[in-house]
Amino acid sequence: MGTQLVLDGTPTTITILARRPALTCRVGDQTCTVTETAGADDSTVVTIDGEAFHLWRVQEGDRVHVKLGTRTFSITVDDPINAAAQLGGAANGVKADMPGVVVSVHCAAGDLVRAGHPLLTIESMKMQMTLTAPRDGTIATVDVKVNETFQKGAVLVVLATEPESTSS
Amino acid sequence: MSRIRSTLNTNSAEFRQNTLANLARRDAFRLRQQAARDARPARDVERLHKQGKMLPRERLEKLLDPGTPFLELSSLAANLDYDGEAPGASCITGIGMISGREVIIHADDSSIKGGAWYPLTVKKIVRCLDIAIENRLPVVHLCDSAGGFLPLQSELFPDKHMAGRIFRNQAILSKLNVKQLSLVFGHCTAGGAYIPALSDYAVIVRGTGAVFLAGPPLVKAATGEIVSVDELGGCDMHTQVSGTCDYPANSELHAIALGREVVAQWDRPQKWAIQQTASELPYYAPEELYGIIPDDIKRGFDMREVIARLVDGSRFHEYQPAYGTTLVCGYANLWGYKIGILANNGVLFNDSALKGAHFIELCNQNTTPLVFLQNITGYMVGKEYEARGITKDGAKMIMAQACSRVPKFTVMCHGSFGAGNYGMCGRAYDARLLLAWPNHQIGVMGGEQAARTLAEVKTRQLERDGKALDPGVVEKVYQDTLGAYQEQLSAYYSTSKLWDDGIIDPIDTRNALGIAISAALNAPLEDPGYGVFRF
Repeated sequence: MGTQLVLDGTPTTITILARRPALTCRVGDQTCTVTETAGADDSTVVTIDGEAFHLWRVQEGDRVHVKLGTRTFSITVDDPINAAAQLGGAANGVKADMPGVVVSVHCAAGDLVRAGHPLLTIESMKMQMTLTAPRDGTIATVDVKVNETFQKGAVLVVLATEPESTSS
Repeated sequence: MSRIRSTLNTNSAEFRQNTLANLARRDAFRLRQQAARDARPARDVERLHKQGKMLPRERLEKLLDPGTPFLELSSLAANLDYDGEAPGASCITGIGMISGREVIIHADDSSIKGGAWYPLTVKKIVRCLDIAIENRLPVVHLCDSAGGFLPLQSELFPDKHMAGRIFRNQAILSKLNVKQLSLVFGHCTAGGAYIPALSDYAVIVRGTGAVFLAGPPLVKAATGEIVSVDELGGCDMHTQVSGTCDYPANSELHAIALGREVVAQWDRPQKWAIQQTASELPYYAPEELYGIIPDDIKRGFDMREVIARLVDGSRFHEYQPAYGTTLVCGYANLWGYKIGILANNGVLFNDSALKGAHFIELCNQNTTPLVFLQNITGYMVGKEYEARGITKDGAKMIMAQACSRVPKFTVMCHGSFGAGNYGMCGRAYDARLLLAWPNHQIGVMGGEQAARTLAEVKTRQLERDGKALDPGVVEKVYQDTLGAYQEQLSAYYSTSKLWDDGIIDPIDTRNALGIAISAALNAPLEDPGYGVFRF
């Protein structure tokens, strides 16, 4: 499997063809050979198909900023697990992991919420938990009231289906 | 490994309130710790210095490798016992480095009643040597004790895990080829005399150090013989005549220098191979733990937010993320060491217990140490869950956990109530190290539940006796129970009794676990195998 990168906003696939005697990669329909040696003042010297460039890199969270010769690039690795996590469970219903009782309600139908926004506080087996929005969205319905009991797995709050995720 | 995506809102009112409350708890903890470590009457300190003795922490500072970490254990042992007369249970224990070797230290604290051993002192030394056995850690004893605290002798002498266990553990350590060194700075009287005698190496300071089964007053009482301390068990007698100690030292500093040289001769243990990668700091700031830990013991929180602030790069491979969701299981790295984490996100159900048992088996086969993060109110109760076999599923989790061959570590992150404590590797389950946060509470049930249960019992008793139901009496039972119970639930109470290896500042958890895992790799893995799982 090639490595999926996002290079200055453009999805790019790099496939490693060989690691020895030198790193050989294919990008698009171009194949190149890359070697790396330490350079002066914290830089690295990268030789791409015989041409040498100074390279500096700075990590910023999941993003790497690279200066290659005189050009700069911003790169992120496109990780399918992260991509799936950002979709945020996709389901509209917010369920209770435990049977219990509603202690307080922090949202109402029609509210716009961000992922992580507290929706309900529930109590089960002596422990209170706050249920939060699994993704950004609009509250469609709040199906319980304070002091109401519910079973494990019951849907307590429903988020409205996002318009862009409906197929037409 | 993918990074956890925190959904923590650090601008929320709840985060700010939690932070304020937990910083106050941390400051209160530090004050108590500071007092237990250093608050001593000036005249006791002067007396020691006049004898040419250093305080135990001054000795440690000279003995340990400069610039290396020292993980002090149970710094608040006995803090609520003996009217506070034995801070730290009158001794210091901890894991540190000497001459580049990982060792565990046991140091008597002669600035408290001449270093006399209280019952909890004995418990703390025995625990220290248990840790040495479990992790094959060499031991350095800094001896300076008046002997057992006689008014409480019945609580420190006769039973299986009392004073005799110290010397039993020393013998077992030697059998396991784990080295021991004693530095005799003061007196080693009666049982305490066996500490240098059972060590591989013993250094004794001329003038102040002495080793004997009975001191001069007891000898006089027993046989009428009149003899000085030095004649009876001093430095020259033991290094030239009896051979009980090996090296004479002219001063404490001389003894410490000799001790460091002795340790430098020891071979380095072969650690077992564990999957390791380059260490990486957590992506999310550990200081944010203060805003995650709720101010209310009844409140739960997402343990993934805690994991994100403990492990390398906040990276976590979650196992069965959609099944048994009240127990979060998965792999991570800490200081580069691969670990398997089990963390409570609510009460344990059948599916969460089965998932936990299964994950523990995977880690045992994959030689991955286990880290338990506790915030547990128990296993689910009720007719439906009993019918589904919650008890036998909980038993499976306990079976897998108790029979684990890989080292286990437990952190008490919040509440620890009921049988959940067992499944999640509570004190009885031989965690190599069990550490608690200052907000931790522990008990067979929560305070309110216990008080309500007892008030209910009282009501029934009154009914049965045909007495008039006096709400005042029932209320008093409730309040009295609640009050007594609250004190016993607190982290200070449990650490006072040595139900853990010490309270730590939550942001130190990562480093404490790193030291503990590194130490654990000295001991060979046990044979694999379990008992009978009830299916």
